[in-house]
Amino acid sequence: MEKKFELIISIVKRGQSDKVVSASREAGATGGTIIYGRGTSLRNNDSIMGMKIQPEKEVILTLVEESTKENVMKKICKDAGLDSGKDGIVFSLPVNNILGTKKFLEKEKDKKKK
Amino acid sequence: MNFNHNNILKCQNILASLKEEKMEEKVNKKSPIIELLMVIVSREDDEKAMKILDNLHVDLQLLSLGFGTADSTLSDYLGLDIKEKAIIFSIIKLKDSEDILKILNDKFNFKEKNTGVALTIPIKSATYNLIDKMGFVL
Repeated sequence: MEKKFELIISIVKRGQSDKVVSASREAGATGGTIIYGRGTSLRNNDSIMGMKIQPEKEVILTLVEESTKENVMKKICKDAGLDSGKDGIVFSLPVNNILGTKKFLEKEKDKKKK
Repeated sequence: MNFNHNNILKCQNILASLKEEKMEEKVNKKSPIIELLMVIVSREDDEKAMKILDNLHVDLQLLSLGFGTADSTLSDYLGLDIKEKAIIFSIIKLKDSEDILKILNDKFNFKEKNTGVALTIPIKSATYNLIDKMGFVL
């Protein structure tokens, strides 16, 4: 049976990505890709001298197997302090097709052997 | 027609199969026709990836610069765990996705370690402009 993958997207404050990556690794993910961005939420519309401040954000893309998705998301929320919903969000998207996961699958095989 | 037990069962089966067919039709109508293609490669390969996608008539491309995190503990200790990556977002037709991924795999050999990742995510809805550009008739 073909394995199903999910892409977990975590949006957190700048500097928090380390916590997210280490939490996801602890929960079974292999790593992640980080992109920098800016948030424009209603809550964070502070301004100085009439200039609006857009908080800097980090977007972390983590590819996981569907079965481990829930654990990884829970661990990210717990470790990065996202339970309150103020400091960031985590959501996942289904992946239809995927290439380049051989390493990922090999690791899983090794785990099962152990 | 005899209303015996067997006939009633047959009728029930026919009705059930008709229901299933209708449900399938509904699902097919709602199923996505376009996908988001994400290609994550090292920054040196960004132009190569974009050229390949250009040649495959993937017109909509967004290149974003990011960082990947390697998983070897040795490189973690050496502080070399962050690698510069390029992430290319593009929109493709669902029916073309397998061919595009095959070609990308041939060019980048994603089966090898640390070459990159390519994946597709279904898109449920999009603006008319986008769908029109992709050549679909609503």
